[in-house]
Amino acid sequence: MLAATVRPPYRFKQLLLSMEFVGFGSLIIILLSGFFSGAILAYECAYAFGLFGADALTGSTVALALCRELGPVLSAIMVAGRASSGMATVIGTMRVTEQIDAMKTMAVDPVQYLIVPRVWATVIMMPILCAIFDFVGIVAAYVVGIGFAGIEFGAFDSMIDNLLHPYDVTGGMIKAAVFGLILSFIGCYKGYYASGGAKGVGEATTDSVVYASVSVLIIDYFLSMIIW
Amino acid sequence: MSKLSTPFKVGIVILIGILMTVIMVLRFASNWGQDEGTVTLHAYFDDATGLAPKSLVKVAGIQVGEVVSIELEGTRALVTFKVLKSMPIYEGVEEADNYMRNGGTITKKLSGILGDYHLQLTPGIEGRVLTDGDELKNVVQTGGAEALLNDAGKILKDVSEVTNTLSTVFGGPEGEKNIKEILENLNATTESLRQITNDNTEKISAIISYVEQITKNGADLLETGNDKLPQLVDNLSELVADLQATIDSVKAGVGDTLDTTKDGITQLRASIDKLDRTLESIRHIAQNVENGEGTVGKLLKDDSIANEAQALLTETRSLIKQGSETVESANSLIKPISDLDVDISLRGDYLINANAFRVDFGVRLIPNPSKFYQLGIVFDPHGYTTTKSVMTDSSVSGPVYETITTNEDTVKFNLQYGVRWRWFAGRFGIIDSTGGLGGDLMLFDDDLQVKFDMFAFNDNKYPRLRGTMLLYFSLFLPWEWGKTFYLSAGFDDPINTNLFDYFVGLGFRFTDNDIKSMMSIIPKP
Repeated sequence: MLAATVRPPYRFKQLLLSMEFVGFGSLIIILLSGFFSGAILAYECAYAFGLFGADALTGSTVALALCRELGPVLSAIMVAGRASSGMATVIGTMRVTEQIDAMKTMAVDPVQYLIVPRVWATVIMMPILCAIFDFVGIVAAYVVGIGFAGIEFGAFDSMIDNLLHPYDVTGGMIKAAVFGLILSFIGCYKGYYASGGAKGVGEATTDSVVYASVSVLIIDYFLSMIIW
Repeated sequence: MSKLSTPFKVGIVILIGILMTVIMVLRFASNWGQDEGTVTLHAYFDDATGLAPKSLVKVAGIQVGEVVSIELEGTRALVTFKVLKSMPIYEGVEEADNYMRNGGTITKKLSGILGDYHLQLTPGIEGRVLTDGDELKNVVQTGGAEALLNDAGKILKDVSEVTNTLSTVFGGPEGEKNIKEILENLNATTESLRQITNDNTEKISAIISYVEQITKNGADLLETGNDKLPQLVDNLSELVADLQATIDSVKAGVGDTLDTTKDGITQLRASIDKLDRTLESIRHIAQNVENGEGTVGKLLKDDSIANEAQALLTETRSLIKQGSETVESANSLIKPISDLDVDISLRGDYLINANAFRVDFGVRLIPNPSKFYQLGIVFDPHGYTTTKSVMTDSSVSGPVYETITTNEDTVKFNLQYGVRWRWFAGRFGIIDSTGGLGGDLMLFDDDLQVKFDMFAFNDNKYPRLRGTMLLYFSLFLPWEWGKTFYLSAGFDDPINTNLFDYFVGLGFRFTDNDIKSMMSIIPKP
C-alpha cells in the first residue's frame, strides 16, 4: 500500500470523496455520541464525587477522560461501525461482482484506486472527528455539571484549566490518527478479499466492524503507554 | 446539503475540527505562563508526598506557577518549579543555619482533604532576584496528611483512654451504685450543713462581725504606718543578716583562727616583696620610654615615624579605592557577558528537486529577550549559478559560442541583527552571503516557528524568497528532548522558477543551559 501511495498517478479526487464519506458523513453521529458521552459521564462523576464533596473535579475528570481515552476510542468505534463497514461493503461488492478484476484488465491498480484514498482519508479525518468529539463532550459536561448538577462554574472551570494539558488533546488526536489507519485498513482488507457472493460480503462487513473495534481497544492500551 | 460540493463539505469538517482543537488547547487546556514567560527555580523538601508535576504554586491563594518535576536527590526530594517572571522571588540575606532573612519562602500545603497538595510561596523582600536554575533555600518543612492523621490518631487514643476509664469507674451496675451512693452522701452532707447554719445563725453572725472589726483595724494600722513600714522591714532584714554572720563566726571556732592568721602574715610578706620588685622593673621601662630608647620609645617619641605611618595609610587608602573602582569596571564589563544567552543549532534539509542536502549551522547570541544576533554558516548545494557564453571556435565558418553554467560558492554565511516583540521577530543583515531581511512568527512557546526570508536582490530577476516552518517535538509530545529536536519543512525561491525547490529536514538546538547540563555530566580528569 505504501508503494501505491507514493507512485503516481495521485488520486486526489478519490481522496476528497473518501474524506467526505468518512468525515462529513460521520459528523452527525460524532456530534451526538460526543455530546451524550460527555453528558452521562459528567452526570455520573458529579454524583460519585458529590458523595465526598469533591464535585468540582467533575469537569476536569470528564475533560481528561474524553481527551485522553474516550474521544479517540469512541469516535474510532463510531467510524468503524459506519465507515469501516461501508468500505468493506463497497469493495467487497466490487470484488464479488468482478469489478476489481475489470479494473485490473483496464490497467487500473485497484489498491491505488480503492484502498489508498480510503486509508489516508480516514487517517486525516479521524483526528478532526476526535477533536470534535472531545469539544462537544466537554461542552455537554459544562451543561450537565453546571446546569443540572449545580456545580459552581468557577471551581468547575478552573479545575479543567488546571488539570487538562495541551498534550492531552494532541496526544488523543495522534491516537485517533493511528486508529484511523487500523480501522480503514481492516475494512478495505476484508472487502478486498471477500468471496462467496452476497453472503461473503455480509461476513466481510461484520468481520471488519468486529476486528476494527477490538483492535482499537487493544492498541489503545499500548498507545496510551507510549504517548503518556 | 447534498448539493454542496465535496471539497466544500470536507473543508467545513476540517475547519470545524481545527477550530475546536484550537479552542480546546487555548481555552480549556492550561497554557499557563506562555505569554509572560517564567523563571525555573528548585527547592529541596524532606517529604514531597502529595506533590506531582503540574501541582500549583500559589501566592496568596492565586496561581503564580506550577511544579515541573520531582526527583530524588540523595535522601531529599528535589522539586523544580516555574514561576511567572512578573512575580520576582528574592534570595534574602544569608544568616546562620543557611537561613535567608527576608528571602522568598516555600512550603507544602494541603489543598483538600483528598490529599492533594500545592506549594505556597512567599516572594520575600530583600536580596537578589532569583533567576533560572537558582535554588530557593527557605523551605518550611511540614508534615503531610500522614502526620495530620497521626496527630489525630494520638488525640483519639487519649480520648479513648479517658472514656475507657470513665466506663470502668462508672460503667455497669456497680458504677451506677457508686454514683448513687456519692449523690446520697452529697445530699446528706448538704442537709447537715443546712442544719448547722440554722442552729448557729447568731454565732456565725457574731464571728463575721468580729472578722470585719479585725480587718478594719488592720487596714487602719497599715494606712497610718504606711511611711514607716518599709524602713521597719529594712531594719529587720539587716538585723537578721547581722545575727546570721555572728552565729557563723562563732561556729568557726577560736583555735583555727590563730593558725590561719599566722600563715596569712607569712604569705603577705612574700607577696609584698614580689610586688616591690615588679614595680621597680616597671619604673625602669617607663624611664627608657621617656628617654626615647628602645622600639616603643622610638615609636612614641620620634615624630618622623608617625609621619611616615600617616603617609603609608593615606597611600593604602588610595590604592584600595582604585582597586574597588577597577572591580566595579570589571563587573560592568562582565555583566552583559554573563547575561548573554547562546543558542546553537544544526539543521539538515533535504532539497527535493535538487536531490541534495543543505546543512545550516547557526549560533544565536541573545543579550536580552528583545534582541539577538544570528551568526551562521550554510552549506547549500544551490550555490550561486552564473551563466556565460564562451567562444570556443573561431574557424572560417565563424565563431562558435558555448553557454557555460557554473555553480559556485556553496558555502555561505549569515550575520543578522534581530529584534523580537512577543511572538514576532524581525531580522536584517547578511543572509546566505547577501543582503536580506526576514521575519519570524514564534507561536506556542516557540514550539512552532514560521520564518520568511527575502535576500539576493540582485542575483536574479526577482529577490529570493524562502519560507521555513520549524515544528518542535514538544508541541505534540511530552518528551524530555522535545525542546531540543524539531522537524523543518518549507520552500525556497518560488518566484524564480528555475531555482524553485522545497525541502524537509530535521534539526536540533542547544541552549546554553543544555550545554551547562552536558558539561556537568562530563567526567573531570
